[in-house]
Amino acid sequence: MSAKLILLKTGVANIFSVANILDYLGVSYQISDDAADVARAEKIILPGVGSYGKVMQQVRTRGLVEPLREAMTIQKKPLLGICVGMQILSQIGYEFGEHEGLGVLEGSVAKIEAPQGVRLPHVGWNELKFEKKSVLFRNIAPETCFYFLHSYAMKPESASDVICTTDYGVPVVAAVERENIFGVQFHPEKSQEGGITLIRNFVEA
Amino acid sequence: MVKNRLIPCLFLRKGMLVQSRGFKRYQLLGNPLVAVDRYNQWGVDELVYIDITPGIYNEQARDDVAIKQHGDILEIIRAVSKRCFMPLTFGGGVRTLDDIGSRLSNGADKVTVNTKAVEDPDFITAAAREFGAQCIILSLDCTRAADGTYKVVKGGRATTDLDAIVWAKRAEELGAGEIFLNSVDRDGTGKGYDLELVKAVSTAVKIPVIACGGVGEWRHLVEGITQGEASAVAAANVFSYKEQSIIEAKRYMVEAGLNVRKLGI
Repeated sequence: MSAKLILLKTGVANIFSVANILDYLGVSYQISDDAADVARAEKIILPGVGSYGKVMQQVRTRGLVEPLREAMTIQKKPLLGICVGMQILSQIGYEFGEHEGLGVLEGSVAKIEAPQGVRLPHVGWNELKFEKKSVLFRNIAPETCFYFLHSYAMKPESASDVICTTDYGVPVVAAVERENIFGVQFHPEKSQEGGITLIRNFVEA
Repeated sequence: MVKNRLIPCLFLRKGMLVQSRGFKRYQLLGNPLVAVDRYNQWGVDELVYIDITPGIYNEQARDDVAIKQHGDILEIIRAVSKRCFMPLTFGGGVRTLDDIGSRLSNGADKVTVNTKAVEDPDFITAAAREFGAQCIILSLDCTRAADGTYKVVKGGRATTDLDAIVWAKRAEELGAGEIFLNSVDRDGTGKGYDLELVKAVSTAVKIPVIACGGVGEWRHLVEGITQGEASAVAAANVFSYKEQSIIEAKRYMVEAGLNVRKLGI
């Protein structure tokens, strides 16, 4: 019998770090890149680092595009995308060319339009500004900082998908939620207390 | 707005933590894992580990049995990342894309590249393409030349003819995500950062710069940001001996009015 929580191996991700937090929380999970496991899973965590195109290529190579779309939109399984894992939930990404995403959230991913004097990548701890409540942020003080490490950000077409943004000279989408689909631009697995609580909230929800 | 970061820098030599001065004299501090639990408790923003084992860049050290016994870098990364849920950078000895891949898949978030980048600048581009620019930090060690300009020091020892500012700009163009800037002259002196160097590099590039080398007092950390215009300030020795040093440093920076992450948030 396979584990209820699948930690998806996308080939370009710091799986080990997310696994470390799950171990710390005492949560059982299975690391997999198998479509059958995705179909059987009750919850999925989708980490991703590097670039939109590369991560999508890895997802495609493993035959996971349709299984993930189905899991999210038809079976309505809770899924948490982290960093590029969140970005590929969109329809299209513009990093190193144009790349099709999973398309479960309308919108695109493009380079942060940082104002003059603001450096890219956006690296470091930043605060969040909330647009709506989310189970992800339960028991997390609103001024809690999370760790960001990216140059590209999501531009959702539906403002209602946005949980919170972060200020980087311009507002940058930090987390999204639509029913069972969750995404965080920052790295909860690297954000100490706040990140541990967020992952616990997703797992226990 | 993103906070300025305070980053302890830990030097590893044959698997053990060391303190250095001028990149030459090394004093053994001990097991790398002892530090990890302290830093975790005190809300450190990031950790940077640099492997300065002699010969680590070439085959000799990689095959050295003694070094393997003391601590394969990947084992150290795994052990640290198991206890430390914060961003980790592991540099030193990076020569191939596989070196980077294996560090990242064992728990590191970023790597620094130094000698390899100087010898083969296209490596920066290849690495950024493969892993994302945000994972690739240029480690830039500098020394001041007689004419007042700054030269790049390669492999921790060899002063080159390469102008540090020119090289910093080039590395940015090639795809480096950040610069980890160290002054060989100030290393271990406690006299503060070479602020002229920090500012010159920080104003020459649009990627974040992490200043390192020379911190002896907390005000040096503040100066690195206010005068050097660095995005982050790193220090090695000053955090090794003193109890509660991170907490004191952060408190000083907060009181100086800097935009830093307060402990516990």
